[in-house]
Amino acid sequence: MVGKVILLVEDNPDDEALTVRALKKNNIINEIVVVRDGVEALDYLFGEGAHAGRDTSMVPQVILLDLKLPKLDGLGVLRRLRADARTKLLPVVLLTSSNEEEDLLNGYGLGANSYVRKPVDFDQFKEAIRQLSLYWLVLNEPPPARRS
Amino acid sequence: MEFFNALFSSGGFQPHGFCYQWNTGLVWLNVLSDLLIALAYFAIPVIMLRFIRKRRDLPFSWMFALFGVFIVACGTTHLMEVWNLWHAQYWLAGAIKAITAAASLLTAGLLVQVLQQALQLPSTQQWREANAEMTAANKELEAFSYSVSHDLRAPLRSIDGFSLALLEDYSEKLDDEGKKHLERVRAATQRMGALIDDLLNLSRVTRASMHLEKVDVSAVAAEVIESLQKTQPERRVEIRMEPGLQATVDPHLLRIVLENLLGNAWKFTSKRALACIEFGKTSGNGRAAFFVRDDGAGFDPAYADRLFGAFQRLHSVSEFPGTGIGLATVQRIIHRHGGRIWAESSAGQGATFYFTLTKLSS
Repeated sequence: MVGKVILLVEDNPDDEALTVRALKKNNIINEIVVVRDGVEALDYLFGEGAHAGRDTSMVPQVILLDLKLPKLDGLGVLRRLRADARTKLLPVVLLTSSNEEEDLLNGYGLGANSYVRKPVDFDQFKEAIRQLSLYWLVLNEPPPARRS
Repeated sequence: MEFFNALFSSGGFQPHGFCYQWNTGLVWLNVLSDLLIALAYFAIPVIMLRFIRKRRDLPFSWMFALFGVFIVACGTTHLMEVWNLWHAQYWLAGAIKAITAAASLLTAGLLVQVLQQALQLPSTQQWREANAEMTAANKELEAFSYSVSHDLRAPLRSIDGFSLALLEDYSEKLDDEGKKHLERVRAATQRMGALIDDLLNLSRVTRASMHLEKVDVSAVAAEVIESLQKTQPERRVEIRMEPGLQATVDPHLLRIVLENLLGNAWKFTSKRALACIEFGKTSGNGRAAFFVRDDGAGFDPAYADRLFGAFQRLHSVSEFPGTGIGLATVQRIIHRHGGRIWAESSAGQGATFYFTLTKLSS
């Protein structure tokens, strides 16, 4: 699994630092790519805009996607990912503050693989990240790579 | 007696059919028409009666009763028309007309008086506008809670996370006093997080749409107790459950009620070596009510009216933890079901919480 990338889509620098810290504390050595809004997330995944020319055959093992993002929000990103054959099967974990029923329904409705609410208590957050990375980086068999 | 004799005598008059020269067509035309009018006039009050029985919320429902009397009287005059074709009891017919006149006049007179009040009733259009306003206000409230849920919690995560980072990464540079301060920062932050979550739940139970169905309340209570026992399997608590109690409620909201009441019973008996928690139904004071009883810390009845207010606590946080929003949430749910909740206790003697749900059946 080494070398597989985790894509973190997060606009809040504090949350970014804490998520990265939680991953490190759990001895996750995968490369963590951070993008800070919905448009940049799509650019990275499709090799467009600022990420033009990136080798898009290198797909992330899992995407940690915040819901509230500048420009294009998390649900908008998810909608675009699921509509595109290249990213349709990518595991997406919604990692967000909200536990509004509406967000959960919309998230799963648009094809999120998992929905995790960030707890205030960092110990709990660390534990959530531990379980989440154990599942998505170790236990889960990712969809087979596209051959093109 | 003479009056009645006069009323029922034909007094030497000819029956009305005579005026029609007993023309068969004309007689039957009148008979049929009068009978049909009478039939309709008798049917109308029956329909109105059904209507007001189904719609008990209707304003001025006594006006419908008056209409009923007036229409029945009118119908009777038409029956008399038929009778008079063959029987010349015109005094009787006149008397019935007089009664009808009185009922009609009374109705008309009262209608004039009611007119002003009736005009003040909101029209369907006005209701619609008020409803639209409420919906808009609700939408705004939803946007507000969403923002609270998302935006107010984010800084708390930072405070807690970076306090812990300080404790972990700079522990050698901090003396014990400094570490203690940071622990306090963390505890306060987490408490604020819990407060925000509880407040959100409180606003959610008010906004959530209700889906009433028949629920086995005892079964839900048993599930809640079971999950409480799992959190502290070492505790010795005797559970007394009345099985098979049913009610027509929103199952999700009912669970929140029982989680709070049984959770409180569990919490406030935590200092007893052997505690007892009871769930059942009583029919004291002529009204059936569910109850949750414990033999825990109880509360001073002097403060009973503060129990159900948001953020009201009758015990210190160090004694028993909590945010003081649970019972406010419970009360809102009970009120949304049209029920009532009250509690009895004396300090140190345990507490009993009673609640009713209007759509109660057992």
